[in-house]
Amino acid sequence: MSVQTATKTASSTGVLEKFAYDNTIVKYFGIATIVWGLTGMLVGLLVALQIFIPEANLGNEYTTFGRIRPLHTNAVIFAFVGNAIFAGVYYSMPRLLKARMYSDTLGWIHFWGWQLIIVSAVITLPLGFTSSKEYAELEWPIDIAIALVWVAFGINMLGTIFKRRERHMYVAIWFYLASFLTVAVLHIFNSFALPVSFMKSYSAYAGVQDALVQWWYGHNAVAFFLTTPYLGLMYYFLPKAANRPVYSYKLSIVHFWSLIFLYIWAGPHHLLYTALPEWAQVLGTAFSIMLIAPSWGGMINGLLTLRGAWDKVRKDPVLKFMVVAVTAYGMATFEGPMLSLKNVNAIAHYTDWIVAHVHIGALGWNGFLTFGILYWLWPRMWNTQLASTKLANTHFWLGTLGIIFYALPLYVAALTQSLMWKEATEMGRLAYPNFLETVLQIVPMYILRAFGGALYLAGAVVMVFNLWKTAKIGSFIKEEEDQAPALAKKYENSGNEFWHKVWERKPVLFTTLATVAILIGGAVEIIPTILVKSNVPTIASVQPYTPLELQGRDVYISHGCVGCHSQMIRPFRHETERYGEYSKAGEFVYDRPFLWGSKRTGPDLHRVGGKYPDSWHYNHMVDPRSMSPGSLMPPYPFMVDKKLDVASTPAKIRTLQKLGVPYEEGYDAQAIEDLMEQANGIVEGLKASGIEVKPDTEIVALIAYLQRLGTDISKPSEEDGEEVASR
Amino acid sequence: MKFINKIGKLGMILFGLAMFAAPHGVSAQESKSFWETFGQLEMEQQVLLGLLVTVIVMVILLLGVIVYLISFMYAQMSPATDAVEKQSAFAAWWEKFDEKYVTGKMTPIKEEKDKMLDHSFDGIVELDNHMPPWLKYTFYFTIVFGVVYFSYYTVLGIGATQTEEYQEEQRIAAIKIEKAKQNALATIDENTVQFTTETPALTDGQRIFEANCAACHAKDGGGGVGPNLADEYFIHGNSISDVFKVVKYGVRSKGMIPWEDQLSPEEMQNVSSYVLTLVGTEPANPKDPEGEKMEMDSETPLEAIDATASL
Repeated sequence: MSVQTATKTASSTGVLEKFAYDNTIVKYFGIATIVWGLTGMLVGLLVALQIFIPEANLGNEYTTFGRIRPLHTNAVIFAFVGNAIFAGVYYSMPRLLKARMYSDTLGWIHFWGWQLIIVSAVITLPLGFTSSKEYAELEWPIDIAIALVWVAFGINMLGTIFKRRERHMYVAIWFYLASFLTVAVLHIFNSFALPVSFMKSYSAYAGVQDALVQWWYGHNAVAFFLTTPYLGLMYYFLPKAANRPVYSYKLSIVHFWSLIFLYIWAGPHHLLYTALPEWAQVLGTAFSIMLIAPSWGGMINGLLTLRGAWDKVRKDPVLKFMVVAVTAYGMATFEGPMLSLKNVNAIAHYTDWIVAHVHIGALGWNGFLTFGILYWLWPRMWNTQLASTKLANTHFWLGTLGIIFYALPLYVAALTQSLMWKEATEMGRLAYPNFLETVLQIVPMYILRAFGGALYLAGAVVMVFNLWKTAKIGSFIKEEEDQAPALAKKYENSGNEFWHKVWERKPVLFTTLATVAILIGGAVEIIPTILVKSNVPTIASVQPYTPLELQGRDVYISHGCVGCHSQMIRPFRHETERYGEYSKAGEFVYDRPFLWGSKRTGPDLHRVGGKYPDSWHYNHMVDPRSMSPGSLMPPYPFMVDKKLDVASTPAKIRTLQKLGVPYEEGYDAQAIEDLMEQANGIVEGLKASGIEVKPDTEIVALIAYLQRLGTDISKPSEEDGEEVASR
Repeated sequence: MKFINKIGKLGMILFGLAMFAAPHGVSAQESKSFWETFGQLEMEQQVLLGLLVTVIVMVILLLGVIVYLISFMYAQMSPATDAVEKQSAFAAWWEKFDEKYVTGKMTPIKEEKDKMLDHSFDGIVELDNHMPPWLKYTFYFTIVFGVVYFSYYTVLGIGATQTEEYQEEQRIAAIKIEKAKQNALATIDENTVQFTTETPALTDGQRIFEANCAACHAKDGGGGVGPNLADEYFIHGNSISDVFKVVKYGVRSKGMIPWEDQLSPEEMQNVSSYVLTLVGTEPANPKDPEGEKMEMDSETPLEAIDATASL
């Protein structure tokens, strides 16, 4: 093979230079990942309890499930995993490129900027400022801050690459680069929105298009935030910890390029059997299946690197964590494509299967690799030995048991619930027409899941103690000296250099090619969905929301109702029997953002309009169990007193007009009057049922929205119209 | 040693097999005869079958992984032997096949220096091994699968769209329901409904009432969101047929849900009967009367009320 001869570097021409690596920033990012990791897991545990103990919502809007769940996901993804990525990159990158990070100042801007963003998330999410798009919930000012800090990180990486003393970029660097690029593209495009006010905006996309863009983002947040940077980390820390050569250079080339190219296409598998055009769904499935081998390439290269080091795995907790992490990665990336198959997805979607699946990834792959890296980094940065191998082993077993207790019960829960949803009687009726019955059935599994989460958290606490002890017995090395020859200005290759080796020493070319690879998939799926009209057949009777309904929708968004209630009835008999006519693409054209949801802890709400009287909704929101005995839904009594921000209505109407919603010219002036009229109508109706409520409250707006949901498609005939009006 | 090696390779086959079997299970549905039989199964059976295949594949897969890993560990831990064993023809064939299509030529660890690229990144060296053939062929296979799958559903238009699937599902269900109706005894409707006083029926009615109706009408029928059922005022009539109709079809404009999709005719008869037995009782928090005052039919026997009261 020509590879060997071609890599002869021209090192002899360079002058030997001395420099130092900065460990302080690695320490800071490392501590941040620990602190936020514990926080994220603790919040996760609270959420797990809230699912079966409504009292755990603590009786106020700020700690209620709908607000806390996004806090958990954001904390774990962007705070725990994010800081771990940065710690790993700031440690490995300068060492792989034989150059100190480009700028200490940028590094610190990056560090503090990122922590500030997390703090702002911790404040704004419980307050109800949310775009409701999963893993992209933060509102527009924070989105801008994220983009800026991310660019600072990128400049710091690229700067380091340009002043490197290593001619070729190692595979870890490829993954870092691709991650940086893709996350930037995803974040910017998915966050397009028109601001209404300081903390409120409407998505630039509506309905089906918003759903597609969101899951193009959502899926690839998993791919390029939780996966590719971690593969980069694996390629550095695993061979380091095992002290073994990487198994296959060729495999790393094949799986890198195929992974980043194919991943982008798979987003639509989150929207199977929805109103998304079917060609896009089919593409999503096909590309998900094609992802099996590229994903496994990473696992295989990791595991085979351990060939000849298995005796070490028995003794070294670092390698133990890494082996389980890589195996969990392999499991999750096999399960993912299987879940993308139509018939499997028909069972698993909206159930806890998906929750179990992501936690195999998050707890197993991200969590365990992070723990392995931290156990490896700490003794090195503090120039000592790990304080206690025994405690690290304890952590390992607590963590592993935690994952098992987390995932297995949820698999059982998911299958049970899904089959209960589908089961029909002899006469073709639903065997379990009451949705609640299917939830209460799986409560024991929810309890076991929370136990698993608690075990995992306990393990992490043990780690904190161990690392703290390690730091205490060692002494921190702030600057780590190293030396390497400077790169010669001109590179003389031996003539038959392997083609990929050429790319590896040309960062601009490499980055450009990677950008092209990641743009193709998204462009092919998204552009036609937005531009080609036939993809979203319009329905004449579908009209924009009234001002009160619009405000009610924003209340729904703000309280995170989408966390438990989908608004997407799939074309299955058991769903149309339970909820009504299946959802059509044309029904969502005024939905900014879309609210299809991804998990049904409660029933679908797309056709809830007109199903129950206003007074039922009122009583149900104040105390769900009064209307639905045994319900696990959190109570929302505070909605009764909370004033609706009526004054914001004209601005909202104007913003939507700019986005193309056909309100009449000048309707913003009329909006408040219409809003109050509709609200007073609802208040009158409630009074007849003996309920006194003020018209300008959140609950009235929410009732208006709920009663509108899914009713446009069957616009009532004149006779029925009177009945509706008289309600 | 040899034995363990074989097991290791067996693991590799299982590993590879599982990889192939999974997408196969699905693509097999595309072949006509299998699809026909599959289509005749009920939805739940199809679902279960799919699940079963997935689970079995996962089990085989994990088994493969375990055996594969064990063989590695064993090879690592056991002392090296140079004993040459006689090979059977099959073993020789297998070894060749294995080298070409499954594990590939794995360089012994002792010789891996030859495979090393002559450069290290911060001390990390890369080997110039080929990617394992089984992984390579898996990749090829999934690409073919992807192309076929996409064409099958879009370009060629053979695969059913989700709307077509739904219509088919509805059609099959309609036939099934029709059959079930023929087999069932004459069903109860608003014309044939009877006020029943039998204790088991009323007990059942009470159970249904408390599970489904109590939310709006209160457990003792005193009313809440819905009207008071215990007074002698009626909005939609007081005969068993009137009540049955309200239960069955609902009164959408007033928020009463139709129950015909959720309760069987017999259950609706039982709960309607139970509701009539509530008339004249004294609920804890009665809602104000709505509708017109009506005399109860003499056929409403007070015994029935006494019977349920003692339950």
